Amino acid sequence: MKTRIVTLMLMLGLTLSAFAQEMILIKGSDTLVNLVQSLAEEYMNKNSDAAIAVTGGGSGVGIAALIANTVAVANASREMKEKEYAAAKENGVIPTEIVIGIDGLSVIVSGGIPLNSLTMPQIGAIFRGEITNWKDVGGPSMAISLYGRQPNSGTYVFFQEHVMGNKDYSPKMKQMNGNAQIIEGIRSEKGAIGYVGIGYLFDENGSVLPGIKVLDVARDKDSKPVSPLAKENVISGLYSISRPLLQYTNGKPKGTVKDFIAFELGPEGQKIVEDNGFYPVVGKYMEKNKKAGL
Amino acid sequence: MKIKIMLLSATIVLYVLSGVGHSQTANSINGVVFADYYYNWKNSVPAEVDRNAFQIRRYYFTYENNLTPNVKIRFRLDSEHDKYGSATKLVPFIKHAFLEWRELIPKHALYLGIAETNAFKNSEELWGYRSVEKTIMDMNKLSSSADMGIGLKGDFNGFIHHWLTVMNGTGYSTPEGDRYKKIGYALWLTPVKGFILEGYVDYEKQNPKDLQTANANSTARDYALGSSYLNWKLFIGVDRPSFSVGAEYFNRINRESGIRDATITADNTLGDYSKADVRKSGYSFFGSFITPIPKVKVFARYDFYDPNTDENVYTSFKDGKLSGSGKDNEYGLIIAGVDFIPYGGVHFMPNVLIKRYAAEGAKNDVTVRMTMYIKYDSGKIVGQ
Repeated sequence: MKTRIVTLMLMLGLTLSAFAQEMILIKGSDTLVNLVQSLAEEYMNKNSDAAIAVTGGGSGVGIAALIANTVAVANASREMKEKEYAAAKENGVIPTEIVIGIDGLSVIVSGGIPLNSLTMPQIGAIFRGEITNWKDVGGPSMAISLYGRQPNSGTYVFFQEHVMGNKDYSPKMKQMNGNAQIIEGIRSEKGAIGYVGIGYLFDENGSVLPGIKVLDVARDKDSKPVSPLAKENVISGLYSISRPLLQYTNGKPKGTVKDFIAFELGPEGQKIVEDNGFYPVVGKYMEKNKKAGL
Repeated sequence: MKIKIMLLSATIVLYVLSGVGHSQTANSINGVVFADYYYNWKNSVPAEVDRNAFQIRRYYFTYENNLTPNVKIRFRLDSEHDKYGSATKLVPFIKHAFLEWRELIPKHALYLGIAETNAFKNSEELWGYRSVEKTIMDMNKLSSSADMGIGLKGDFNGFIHHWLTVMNGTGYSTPEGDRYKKIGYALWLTPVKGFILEGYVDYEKQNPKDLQTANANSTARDYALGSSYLNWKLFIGVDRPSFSVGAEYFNRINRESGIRDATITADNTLGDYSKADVRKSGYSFFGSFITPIPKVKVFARYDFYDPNTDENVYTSFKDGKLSGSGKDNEYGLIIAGVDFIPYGGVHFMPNVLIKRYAAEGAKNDVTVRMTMYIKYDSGKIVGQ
């Protein structure tokens, strides 16, 4: 009888432990969601015991989930704000920032617009609604149609802070759910302009998607326009709207989370970063990651 | 009045939920509730021993509307249980009702209305456990956390910050009672991230002969009979990702609000006396730490408060007796607790408060509590 009870308990224990497989929840940036899903799939292929769920929703949503202690990792295309750090601390969360790739946030226009470049001040004025016709920036006489992200998006915040001088977006800007929706909108409308993470610009063959044009960006009217399509321009910071792609964990990553992030930063992971159209981690960002124990 | 407040609250909720708003408008309803069960294990007053109760110590209901990225309004209701044994019901009243206008002056925000004050905002944020106890100046009613008037807050170059207020000086729940205004100024430096050094001063003139001031006397504020009051304080704090520590020292002078060298006549009335300043001082050390145990923080604080530093100065005369002298009236307060955070915005904080009086023979107050703190936020739900 005793043996039966012990056997039953062992079976029950084994069953429960199977269900208790640690599920790593990752949430946040829509710019990063496809990339991190690719990374997670490859990692799980190599580690059959690992279970990782990646969802989007925007950087703000992911960071809020980390602050609430409901996810292991937050994906973010912008840095955490002071208020978010304070809220994290209030909840006993110590955010650790990790850079897993670099993005050249790209300004794209409808394919028919005969322009190759804009300056940062011009782009800012366009998205603030101060310039509303292409003829005012050297283009045809045609109304400008604006496409951007929603306020919970890190890309929305990053663009507002770095390109628009932290001023308000034009109320006429169409606020789209994700990068892919912005591209679709711009492809289907003449005279449109928007911004997307560089990883969303390419088709399966690595060519820029048809129907859109990626503009070069000049820091100001006296500077030379720079393309985000050249890797060196972005990772060197020569391209004005380059930014790190971030992940945040509560404290220094440990266990499977640490192993997964180490995979992301390793040769295989960084190749996946490049395959997804983004650029690998270099220089100062590598040093920063080392401080996070990676 | 209550019906009006309820109707106003309901209107605000309906407005927010209806989705009315400009595309750039952001509305939110947010607030906090903190409540606890307390038990007076020991007390200097025998009748207080074994007293225990569940109590709501604060309920904030806040509506915020960002009219533009630089203009915001906030309306906050505030409520709490009255003291033990009171027949007064839980009544909400207005804590904040202000317009915040940022960048009217570069890098500054202008506040108009019933707004936060600058006396202890920075130290309160660093302490982070207002739900357990107010900071020392707030707790001892040396300044109010909100008041009616004008405020200007900003920074010069990112690490020199300041905050000027011109307020009634009566706090947020009572109207002005005299012709004078309280002027407060805080200047703080943050030369490196996570470090703050602050100086603060406030002043309000008062005139006991002023009819309006005489009315204010009925509020029983200890400075109401004086000719002016002045607070100053120094605060230093370190705020790191895993811990915060801070220390503050304050001093207050109530000009001519005390008496010395008093004689008491045979029929128990006050004879000759000299007017005297009443000085108060205190200091506080506090800290909180994130522990290696997930979702657990700890916090502790020590306060020392002397409500009258001169033993020859009295602040009250009643029934033929002088009282309120500075002799042995100091106390020390120890606060310690654990903060368990099962979910973001939900805190359970078992804590203990030990108050040690300097007076000879006075017993300590020891209160143990289980404090619960809940934060809620509708988020920015309109137009986004």
